[in-house]
Amino acid sequence: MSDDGLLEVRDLNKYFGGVTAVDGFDMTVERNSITGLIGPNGAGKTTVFRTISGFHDPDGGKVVFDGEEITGKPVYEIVEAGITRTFQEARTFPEMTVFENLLVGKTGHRGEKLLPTTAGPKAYAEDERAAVEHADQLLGYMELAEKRDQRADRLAVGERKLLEIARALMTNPDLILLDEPMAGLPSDLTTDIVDYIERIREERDQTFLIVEHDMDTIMNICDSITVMEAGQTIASGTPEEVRNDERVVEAYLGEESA
Amino acid sequence: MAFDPQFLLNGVIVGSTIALAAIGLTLIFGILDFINFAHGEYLTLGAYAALVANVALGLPFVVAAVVAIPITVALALALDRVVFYPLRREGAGALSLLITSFGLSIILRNAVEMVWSSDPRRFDVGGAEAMAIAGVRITAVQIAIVVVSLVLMIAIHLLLTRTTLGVTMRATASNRSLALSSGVNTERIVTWTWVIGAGLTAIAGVLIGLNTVVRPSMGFGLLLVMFAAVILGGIGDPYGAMLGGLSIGIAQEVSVAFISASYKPAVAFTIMVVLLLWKPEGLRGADT
Repeated sequence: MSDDGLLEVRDLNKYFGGVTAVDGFDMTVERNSITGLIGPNGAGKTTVFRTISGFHDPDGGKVVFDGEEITGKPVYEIVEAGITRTFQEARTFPEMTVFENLLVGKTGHRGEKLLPTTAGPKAYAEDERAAVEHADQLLGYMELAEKRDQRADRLAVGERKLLEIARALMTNPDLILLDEPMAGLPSDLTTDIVDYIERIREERDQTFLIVEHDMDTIMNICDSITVMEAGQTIASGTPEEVRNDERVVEAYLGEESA
Repeated sequence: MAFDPQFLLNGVIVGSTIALAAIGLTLIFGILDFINFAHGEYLTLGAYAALVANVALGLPFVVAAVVAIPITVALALALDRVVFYPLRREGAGALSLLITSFGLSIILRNAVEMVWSSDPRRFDVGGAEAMAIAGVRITAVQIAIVVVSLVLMIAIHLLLTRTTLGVTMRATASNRSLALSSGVNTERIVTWTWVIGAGLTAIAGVLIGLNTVVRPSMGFGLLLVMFAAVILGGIGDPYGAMLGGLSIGIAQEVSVAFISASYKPAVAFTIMVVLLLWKPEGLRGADT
């Protein structure tokens, strides 16, 4: 296993009460890759996601991102470091416009500081203007420009997925965690989202880590896949290697017979 | 029976101050998901801070009113740090926070009474002579109350829609984990919400004290009316709080034309219940 991945997860542990959710989990996400994280239900994928993105504090192990340890940092600091995530049910701020949804993801958030001692009103105005420009540029990129001033809850489900990805891009991430991006989508929209993910990787030099149940999509889109079962890594490699791994086959057969 | 427009005017004056205080209450609810029973005491403390500056220190009224804002904000922030933040961090539920704030409300109210007694007090300010304009009597002070309230409500609207801080506040109220994932430091947004909420409430307290008197129970007495305004407008919705506050103020004062003034609170709550039966999602629910 190489040690120069963009994201390195080492010996991660997480317990809930007496239940072990993640048990010495290891994973590397290479720069500019699309990496998949799969495993049977209850394997701990969601807990790994939540721990990397800062929603859970791990009980052991470490998460190193771009050479810097981010274990247990608050969510907004992890976003600042360059990791952002989406949610499986395509979360938006429903009563806000598409444009406002993006503004929330603006980097820096200088306007939130109580005493902007380092930045005068001029820098503040410049900051706001840059955020507006960035948001409009991303709306164009994700082909949502026409919906700019519509409320997010008026969007179709596919558009809401695109909005989530646009909001993620707004934070200027290096790594985007996608939590079941295909969930609830008809197959033609799945193809669309796959196209967007590949295009964003190419054109914007992004890295993706995807949790997904749709095996065809995962096998098709990922360069590398990590498989987990009962909180542990049981295999990692190319889709081809993983598909033929005995333990992986067993893990999934076990699920089907259960 | 000819309706006297004086009642309507009184309603606008009272309603705009209720609306201001209700905005603070609803903003905090939206962000922290709990009803702050001590909110009325912030209003009282704002009024007393201005009273001390105005009457005891002899500062001009306007200066005293402005001084009351940072004092009330500092107090609200200190109470959040010492009382509410530790509870939040430990994952206390909405009910624990509510009961805690109820206790805090009693402590603060009694502290005010200990320091300043329960005697009603007045600001040292002129402008109390009524003028007759278009058939209604209004004082310069009352005109100022309505103007200040409206200006502040417009300012809040601009903040919430035209600045990223405002957009971020709405986002945090709408979905906290999604706001976090967007890089928002939500605890900082909580701080800002207390600053804005307590600041508006302090001004509301000063204006209400100016229109009537300053007394230790003034905030608590208005708390239920503020709740009614917040619920009527849709909980967590600042525009709803404005609309709800104005509606309740006007309804209360206009009712005086028909029944005894001592039934004002009953009128407010009757209207609230009837409106909620008709539109359970609140006054502004229709546009969603």
